[in-house]
Amino acid sequence: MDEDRYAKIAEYFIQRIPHVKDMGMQISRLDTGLAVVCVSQQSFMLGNTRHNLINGGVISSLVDTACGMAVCTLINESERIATLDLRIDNLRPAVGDLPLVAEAECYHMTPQIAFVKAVAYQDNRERLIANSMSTFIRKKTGSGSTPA
Amino acid sequence: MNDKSELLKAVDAEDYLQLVSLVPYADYLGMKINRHTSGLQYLMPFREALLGNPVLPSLHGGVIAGFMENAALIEVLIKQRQNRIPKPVDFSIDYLRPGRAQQCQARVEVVREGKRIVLARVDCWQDSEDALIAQVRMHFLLEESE
Repeated sequence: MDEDRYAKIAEYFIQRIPHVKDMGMQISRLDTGLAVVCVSQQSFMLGNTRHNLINGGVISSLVDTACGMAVCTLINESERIATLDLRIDNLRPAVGDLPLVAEAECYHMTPQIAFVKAVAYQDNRERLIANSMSTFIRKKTGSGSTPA
Repeated sequence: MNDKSELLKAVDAEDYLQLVSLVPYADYLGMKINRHTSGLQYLMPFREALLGNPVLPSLHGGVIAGFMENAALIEVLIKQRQNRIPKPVDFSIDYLRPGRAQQCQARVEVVREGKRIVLARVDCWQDSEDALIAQVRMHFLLEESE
């Protein structure tokens, strides 16, 4: 049953969210309170062409999406969520010729707020590109779980 | 391609179209820059691919973050006449209102310019500057020399 729900969440994010679709984000794992999302390199994602580095905005988008998905695995289908705040520490630059992965974990949930931590990495999970903390507000109104 | 001369050339010529084109993701977001008497104005015209919720509809939070981060980056590039793209150290965004399916505007305030570190704040709004949709604060690390 959970698997069905996760498949629905994955389908919603990948097929229905224009920006997620446009960036070509892929979901590599979805579990209770956990989401792993990746993008393969595309030239429009660069911020620094001279050093072939991925732009910080790409990391923000990928991390925000993964965090939103992690929260969606824990909430009711009739709930919506919105990002309240998001912080990213850039530990090392992301190079343009490798895929970028964001792994998010919703580690605490109250009736109103979801607390999420996330990391981003490329080919080596031990060499983090970014560390992130974020909070989301849960909204009971509306239908369909959606990201910010 | 030699970014060094290209970036500085664009900064010195106040060729903001060219400057944005040198930052591919800022270009992807469709960013535009205008010079006003009060400072630089950053714009991100609406387009469908920027949506995070197609039903409401509202902009993707990551798109708003990316727009504001790149506004700060370009402001630092211009103000500091940087030879290379400044390195973002950390980034923090507070979302105040949903971003609706329309153009965003941003203004950057450089809070502190050190030799190595620059602290920037960014405000983003749509209809009115009195109704901000998001606020950002972030640090950049500058290269002291090439």
